[in-house]
Amino acid sequence: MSAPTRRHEPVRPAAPPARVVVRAVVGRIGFYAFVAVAGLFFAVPMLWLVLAPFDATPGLAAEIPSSVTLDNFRAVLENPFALRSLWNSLLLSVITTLLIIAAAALSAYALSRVRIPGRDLMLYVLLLFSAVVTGTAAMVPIFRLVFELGLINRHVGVVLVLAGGLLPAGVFILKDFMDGLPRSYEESALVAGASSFQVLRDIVTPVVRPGLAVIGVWALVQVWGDFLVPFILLRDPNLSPAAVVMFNFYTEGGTANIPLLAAFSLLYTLPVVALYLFVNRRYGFRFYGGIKS
Amino acid sequence: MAEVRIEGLTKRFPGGVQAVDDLDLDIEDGEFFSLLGPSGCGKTTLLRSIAGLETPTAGRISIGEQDVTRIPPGERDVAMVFQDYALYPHMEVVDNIAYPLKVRKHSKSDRHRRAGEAAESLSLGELLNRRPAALSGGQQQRVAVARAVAHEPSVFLFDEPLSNLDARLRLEARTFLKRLQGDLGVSTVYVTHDQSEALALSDRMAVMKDGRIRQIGAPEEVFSRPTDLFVASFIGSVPMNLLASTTTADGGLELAGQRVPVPGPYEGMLEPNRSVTFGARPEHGSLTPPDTPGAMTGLAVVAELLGTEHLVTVECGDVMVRVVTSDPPTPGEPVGVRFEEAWVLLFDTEDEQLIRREPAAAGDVRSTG
Repeated sequence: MSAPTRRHEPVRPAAPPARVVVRAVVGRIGFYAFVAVAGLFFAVPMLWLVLAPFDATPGLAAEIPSSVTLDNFRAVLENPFALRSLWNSLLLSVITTLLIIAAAALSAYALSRVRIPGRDLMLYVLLLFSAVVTGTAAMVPIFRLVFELGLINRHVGVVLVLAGGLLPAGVFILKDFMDGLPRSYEESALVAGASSFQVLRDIVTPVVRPGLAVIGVWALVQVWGDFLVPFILLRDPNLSPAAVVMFNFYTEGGTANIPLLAAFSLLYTLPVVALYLFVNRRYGFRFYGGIKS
Repeated sequence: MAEVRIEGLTKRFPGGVQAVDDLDLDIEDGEFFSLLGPSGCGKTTLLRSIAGLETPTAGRISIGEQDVTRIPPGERDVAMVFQDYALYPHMEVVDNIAYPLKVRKHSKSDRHRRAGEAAESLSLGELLNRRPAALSGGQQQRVAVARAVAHEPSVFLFDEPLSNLDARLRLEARTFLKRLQGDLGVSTVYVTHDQSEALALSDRMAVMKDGRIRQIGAPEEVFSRPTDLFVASFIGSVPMNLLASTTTADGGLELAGQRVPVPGPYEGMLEPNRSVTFGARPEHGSLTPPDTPGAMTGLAVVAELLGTEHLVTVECGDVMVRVVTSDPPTPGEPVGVRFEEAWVLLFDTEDEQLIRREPAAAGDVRSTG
């Protein structure tokens, strides 16, 4: 029983007691079994996502399609809301992301460079409460607020609420990148005669670009996948993003329209995967600052 | 090209640290001037004030004819080389060198021509299209210098530019910096904590401590006639012997329980029973047979090879005396130690100042003898 493990273990002066070995082996087996079950748990829906859209009669089970078809995608194209909602999703997420990148870059830079008493505490508190803003608990006051501002049923309302909710985490991540930027870079540019704006544009932004990419992708994915905020703040189905529209895919009979849902889900997922691959290749993900040298 | 004049400069940081304290300094046109001192002495703050990266609490700074105290760094026509070189990692070498010119709106062809020339003169011609991360430490350092050179400023400011290089490269870079500065004739302010660098490079140097200048002068002078105990102990690769001593009634010195004559230059200047510190460089000492009149006698304890010569430590009673000699004794051997009288310095133990024939006027740190 101990034979298989001995190969993996470094040579020891004395062999461990058999009981210890047995326990280690059982522990390993248990661990792999747990990982396998957990992996399966995530893999099955993925499998469904890949297989169901091409199935002529998709159900809720992940199964090899009995007859492969592209009709489900035709159904998506013919649905009056489907394509429009993808466009809405794109619009909302891109604008929100740009807003977050611009605001987070400026405030992270300022917070990294200016010493304010209680700065770090403030950041942590903001981070903590930002989870509330886009969360369910604050939806009633947020709805009231947006209503009073006259921004119900307008994209700008959704953009502002989501940007506000995501900004603190964005600032938090980006500040670390800014902290990793040596002051001498900026100072040498200042001595060279650059203005603050030129320093920001020519030196700071390019150096923290991986950080901007990280929060950009992260924000885009967050907004792209957000359901609750647009669901509550937008009344007109013509304005709804994909996440909300998908919720309304029913057949005339009142049951969920699974063929349409399956194809639409795949279309809805692909941009995010593509974006991740692109950014990872271009910049590489890292969630910390610092200069590679 | 311009001189730098500093009058009454004071810099107090929020929190109360006084980095520079009412400091006056004139740096002449074309001069290589070093600011030397231990960390925290204010030398970097002084340099950064000249660059405009620190705003003085009080005082004036002028470069050439212009009062620059309140004008931003970019308008002072200075170029600064930072300790970490501050090369922009996302730009190629050529763009790094040309960045100050780009900011000043030189045309692209002009920028590239001047960056190319500066790079060529620093043997960086092959590396123009590399990123800084792909350069060695010495190359990075030269790129930083090239950036300053291409800019053609009136004043160079160097903030410990050699401290990140290993010892051999540092020596090379030192020689090349001195030569470069000589060729360009641009006034240079050079901050370092390495006394050998300051001695090797400077036309004149200032030794700083606690925000004030302790001594200012040519390197030879600062080395051979330090005006106080701090400078005496700070300058010299092999530290100066500084020994507590007392004058005796018969015109001699009691040193480590032994009697030696008062060195010639000090004859007749010292009243009996005065506490003085006897200062002599190991290089100015020699070994004699034990019990030679006028020499201290002790036991040789260690002999360290310096290269061509040895540094011998001699135990005289309870003090250690160091002497550089080419003929080292075997450890444990009794020897005599004598210093050339002309080079011996006596310091007042109380105020730590060099004892001179005419006492220096109070606050006169600029006296250059």
